[in-house]
Amino acid sequence: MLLSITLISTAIAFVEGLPLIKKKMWKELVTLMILLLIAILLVVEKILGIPNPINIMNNLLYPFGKTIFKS
Amino acid sequence: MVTILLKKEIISTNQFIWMLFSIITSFTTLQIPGLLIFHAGRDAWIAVILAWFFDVLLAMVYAYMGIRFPGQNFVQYSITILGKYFGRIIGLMFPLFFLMVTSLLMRAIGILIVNTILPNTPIEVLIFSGYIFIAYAVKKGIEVIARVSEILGPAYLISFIILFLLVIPSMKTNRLRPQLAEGFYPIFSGSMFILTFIGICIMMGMYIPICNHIENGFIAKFIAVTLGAFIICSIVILCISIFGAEQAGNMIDPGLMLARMIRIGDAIDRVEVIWFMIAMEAGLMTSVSLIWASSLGISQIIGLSTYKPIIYPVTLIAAVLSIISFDNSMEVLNFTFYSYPFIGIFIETGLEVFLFIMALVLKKKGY
Repeated sequence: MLLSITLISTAIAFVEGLPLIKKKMWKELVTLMILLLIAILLVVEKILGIPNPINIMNNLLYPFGKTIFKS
Repeated sequence: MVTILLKKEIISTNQFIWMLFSIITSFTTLQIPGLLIFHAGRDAWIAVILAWFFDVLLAMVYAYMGIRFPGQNFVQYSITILGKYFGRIIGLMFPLFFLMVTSLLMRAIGILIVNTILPNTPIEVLIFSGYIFIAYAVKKGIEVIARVSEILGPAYLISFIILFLLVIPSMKTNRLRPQLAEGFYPIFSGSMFILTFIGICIMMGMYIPICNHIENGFIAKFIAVTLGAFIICSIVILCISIFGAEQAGNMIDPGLMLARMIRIGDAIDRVEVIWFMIAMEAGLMTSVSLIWASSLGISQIIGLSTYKPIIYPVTLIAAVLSIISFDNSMEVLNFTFYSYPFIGIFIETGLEVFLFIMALVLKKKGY
């Protein structure tokens, strides 16, 4: 999983990043890199057993949902 | 010098209606009717009508904001209203919400395909192939998405009407009685639940500024949500009156089960794959719209000149989220049933009404 996501991210970085470097759109390039890094970090988080944002929201809201909706 | 390759993309009111229609109907006809019937029992169809009413009220707020801030979507007018920093924090919540909904929807579609037609295929393969299609379609821009929806939307509507006509003979309406056996509570909480799914069409806030007639925002949403609520209501009524409330409440996808009921003579049966195919396509087009809105929103928050370069990364994040967030289909259902409604109500109703009140209090206008 980590390997495949890293490979895909690298591919995206080359395909999308090179034209941006040529056009000197640095802001776009930085955003692109940060978003790709977030994708890789999410997988790393999963491997290390740290809950991701969806799990955190689920853990917070689940007890309220249990009381409001039929269980 | 940086050349800005951005040309203004414009959609027509007709395309607006069909895009909203497929957004409303695709998510809400997969697993949601089963959960709604599980919660509200025989009164589920009243909950849908109530949710339709609330959603039309909400549409008025969105349409008004679209006219008050012409040419701005809700990400942009939250910055206009609340300023550079606080406005950006509030505005960022909309794209993140769309990202979450996409990952949830794609996972739900993946589960359905694995459960029904491709039981031996790993769900990751299905999800990734779906996302490749999504990334390709978003890259083509909103005009292409709109034209595809314009073809697909009517096909989707017709498929539903044919489905309903073919299963109506098996209906037993006495299964819908007695009404209100458990009081009003299941109806109200059920309507809030279904409202959060119909409410994904807050996407209208992204479509209004690119529509060729911004004043048509409300009427487009009204037509789309009325058609959508009619479809959902019919599915709920048919499921309850054919399978009974208890059995329908435990089904993964009641709509698919309805399609499985179709028998034409003794020769033609198991035609659900045809309906399922159209439903999958509508689901994918919904994800396409959501990813488009998400990338556009994020690019506007950061202040990029174009959203095209960040489409692939955003799609990748959504793909990763849909694979790693849930370990099994039970977790997806639990999240959809118990946690998602709170997030949905907060973003769709709370944030927008907050922006609306702040615009009135601070006397901000977009022109």
